[in-house]
Amino acid sequence: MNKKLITSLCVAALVLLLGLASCNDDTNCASFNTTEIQVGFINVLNGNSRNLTFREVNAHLGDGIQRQIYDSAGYSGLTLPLNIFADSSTFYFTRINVNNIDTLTIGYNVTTRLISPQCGTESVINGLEIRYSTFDSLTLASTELLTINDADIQIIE
Amino acid sequence: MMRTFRLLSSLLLVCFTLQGFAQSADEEDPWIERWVDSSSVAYKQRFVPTAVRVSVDAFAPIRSALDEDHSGYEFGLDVDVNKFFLHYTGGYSKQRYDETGILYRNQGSYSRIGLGYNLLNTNRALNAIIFGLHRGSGSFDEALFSAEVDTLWGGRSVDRFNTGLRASWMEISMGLRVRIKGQFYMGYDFRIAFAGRVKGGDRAFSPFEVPGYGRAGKSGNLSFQYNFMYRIPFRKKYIPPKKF
Repeated sequence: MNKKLITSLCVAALVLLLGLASCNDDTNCASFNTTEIQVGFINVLNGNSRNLTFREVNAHLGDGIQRQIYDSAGYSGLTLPLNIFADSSTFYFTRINVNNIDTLTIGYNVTTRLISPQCGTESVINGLEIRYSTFDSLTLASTELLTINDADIQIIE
Repeated sequence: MMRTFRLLSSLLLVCFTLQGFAQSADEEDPWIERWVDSSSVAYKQRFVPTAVRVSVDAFAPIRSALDEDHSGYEFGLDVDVNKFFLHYTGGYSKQRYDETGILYRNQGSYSRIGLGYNLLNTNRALNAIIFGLHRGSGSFDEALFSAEVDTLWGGRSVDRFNTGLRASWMEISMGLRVRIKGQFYMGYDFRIAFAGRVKGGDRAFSPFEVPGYGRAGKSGNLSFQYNFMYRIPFRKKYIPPKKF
């Protein structure tokens, strides 16, 4: 085989390699996975999104311990951080001018994924389900938790 | 980026090496004969297996010696049947990534079987440009040691193990084989592995790297390999007349 042919093959291989090298890039740490669930509020009368006013929203940390994650204000939606060390998370919603406290327990599966040794690990949450709720009506939009989702849970009031 | 640089530098090394040695390749070989016309006995025997080409990954032993975090080997067998090659590859890989807060270990074995088509089937030195389609499979174990911290829920250090995992995938390849001296050849292989699947085993985290395939979560993985080869002929190979 002559040198000209080898040169042509090597040039072709270089072009192919450069074109495909970007596919093997390990430095991109971006991910669509999240451990925060988006909660939206829907008006039961007209189906439009609405604001709800809360005195506080707390996360149940275990052993009767709660930590406040939202303080007194009106919210069109909430972002609730799920416990990646457990298979469920419970939140308590205290409304303004309403005596009872609503409870929402969300169940899920957590899988650890190594993005790359440089980027580290992330938690992938799927198998979402409502384990317990005192809200009158709510819907679960997706069983997978992704940043591209809109509201994962819609509370209809 | 470093991976791309390593691939490019490897390819350039291969190209310069082949350019330097290829001129000695056009030698007379008693194991090779051209058939003259389609009525000859030689023509009728053109699809009989004629040789086995044994190959080893040239860089794997060097990397194993220089880098304590990566070790392994790979060997291949090509059965020469006219313009086709029946291909088998076997390999073993052991890897370790130790970054800040992350320690990942992986080890396993793999194999590929497939068919290659030689575009240079009239070449008397039996140089070859081979396009191939392969099916790969392997088994492996992984371990991940990491610390996970969450501002609300706290943190913990977790040791996770995936054991007894099995994987399968498909590959297309493009390879070059150049005769250096006698039955000794050198060359390279580009591989694009795709349609990877991991099955079975006990899993504590998402499989990260599959020996022989690459990153488990990717739809495709590119690899480059530089090979030393030795052809063992056991029957005379009849090749077509040269086209003018």
